[in-house]
Amino acid sequence: MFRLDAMRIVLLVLLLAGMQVFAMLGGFFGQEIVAEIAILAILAISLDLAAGFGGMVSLGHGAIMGVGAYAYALAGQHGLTPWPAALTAIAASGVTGGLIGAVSARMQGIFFIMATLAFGQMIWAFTFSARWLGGDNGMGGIARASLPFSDLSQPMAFANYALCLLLAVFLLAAATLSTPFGRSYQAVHDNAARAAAIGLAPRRIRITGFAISSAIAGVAGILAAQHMQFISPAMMFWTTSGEVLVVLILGGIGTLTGPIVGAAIFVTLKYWAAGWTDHWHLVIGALLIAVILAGGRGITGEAERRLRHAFR
Amino acid sequence: MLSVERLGKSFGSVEVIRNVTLTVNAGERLVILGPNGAGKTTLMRLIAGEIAPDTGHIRLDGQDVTALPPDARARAGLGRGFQTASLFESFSIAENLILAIAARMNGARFGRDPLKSHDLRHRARAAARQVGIADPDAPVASIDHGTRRRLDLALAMSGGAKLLLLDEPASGFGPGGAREIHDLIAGLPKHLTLLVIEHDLDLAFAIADRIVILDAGGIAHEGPPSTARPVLRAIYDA
Repeated sequence: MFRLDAMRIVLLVLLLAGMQVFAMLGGFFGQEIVAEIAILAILAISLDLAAGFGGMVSLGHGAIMGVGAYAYALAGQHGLTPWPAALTAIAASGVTGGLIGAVSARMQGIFFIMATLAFGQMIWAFTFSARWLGGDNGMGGIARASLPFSDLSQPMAFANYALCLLLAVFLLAAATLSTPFGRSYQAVHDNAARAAAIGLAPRRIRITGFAISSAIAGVAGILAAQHMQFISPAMMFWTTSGEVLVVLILGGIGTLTGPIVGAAIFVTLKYWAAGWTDHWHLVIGALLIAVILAGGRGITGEAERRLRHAFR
Repeated sequence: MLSVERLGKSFGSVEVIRNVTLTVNAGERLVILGPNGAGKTTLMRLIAGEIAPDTGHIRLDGQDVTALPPDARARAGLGRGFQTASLFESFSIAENLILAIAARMNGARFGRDPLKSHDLRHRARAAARQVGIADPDAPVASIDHGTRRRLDLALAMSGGAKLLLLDEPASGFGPGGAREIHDLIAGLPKHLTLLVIEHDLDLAFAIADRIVILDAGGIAHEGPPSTARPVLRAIYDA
């Protein structure tokens, strides 16, 4: 069960402060990396809500993030300013997730994974072939959000904006998990038969949880669209979902801070290892195997376990 | 309180429940007995809504609940105890009870954290005390078998359940532990209606107002405890 305890708050503050310092000292490259970490972390938090707290391991979250990105781009093309366009995109992702959840929520384990993979690939294939969405060329000219006190066309300002969004998403997810709905959602994951026997509706709760998770994936999509100011169907391909699942397992599933740790390690390792080998996936793969062999709790989960044991 | 009318259920070609009709009156303690494979747990699962019957109807307080899922039946006042204690393993005892009380009160809404509600925590502690649990703050993962069974019973009763379905509440106990659980059940408030499956005949006779004997999916006998022993002896001898 999720608890936003002092250990997690301290870790969150350290992570955000560390990324802020990295962006300040790292120049343009550092600021771009921080924005990339924030996008991946938001997507991983959304997957943590579905998989870590709801038991719904999704291979469709890349596509759902893409729905958010495309909806944002389309809304902008049709004259909406960035903030209303973002709300539209979040709603589009949430509704898409709700529909996928309505079909898939009865399924468990491998069948749920396969259903979300199928839905994700259907969304990718549709987008890839839809000329009005730019087909495989994607869509460009996407506007960044505007703030009265900050020019988001500047990389440092955008990195700060991305970190603020990451913080907001983390707090929103933590708050959601602490509502009666959030506690019920975790209870359904823990024991669906008992949850039903005390009067909770497991299927409805799972669908709602998946829709909330999808809406947050939409936020990642919006931020990705604003970051690159270009989107293509490649972001919807199942490998994006696979990558974020790796990030989640690496960082620690069911921790909410783990996705941020996982995203930071994943992106940093990617650029560091890519400097001396084309096969940077091998480095990530080796680390992932080590994490799984160590118990599968992820870096954050394992660290939390050891610290709790030490301070008991 | 509960009426089951001409209930039937088959799994493939095996007819597990055959044309079962029974009623449980408000405040009554009905015990279902029968040999292994008689269909007792299947009947319990049908009443709880975990599986759908092929034929027949189930009414709770006059309302036809046959098509309702388990959660709707729970909200209608049906409490469920499982053969193997069914708990929320990653929560504490008190948190299990808070969830159960909050679920029957408000369902899964957005609002204040129920685990931080003083009122709910107070009610959860009272519910734990009612079944003899001394340390409600213990994590479920660390509690013994007896406490697990007690918590399962408390979860079934929580949030104002009117009819308790208890599937072998004393299973897994030695004689002493089973006696404790049955004393606990016998001492439950009289307004609670009980439908209990039990294997231990002495314990079953101690709590039953009426006994139904199931055999091969059908009702072989129904009546006061004093009339049940000869029928049971005949079934087990055969």
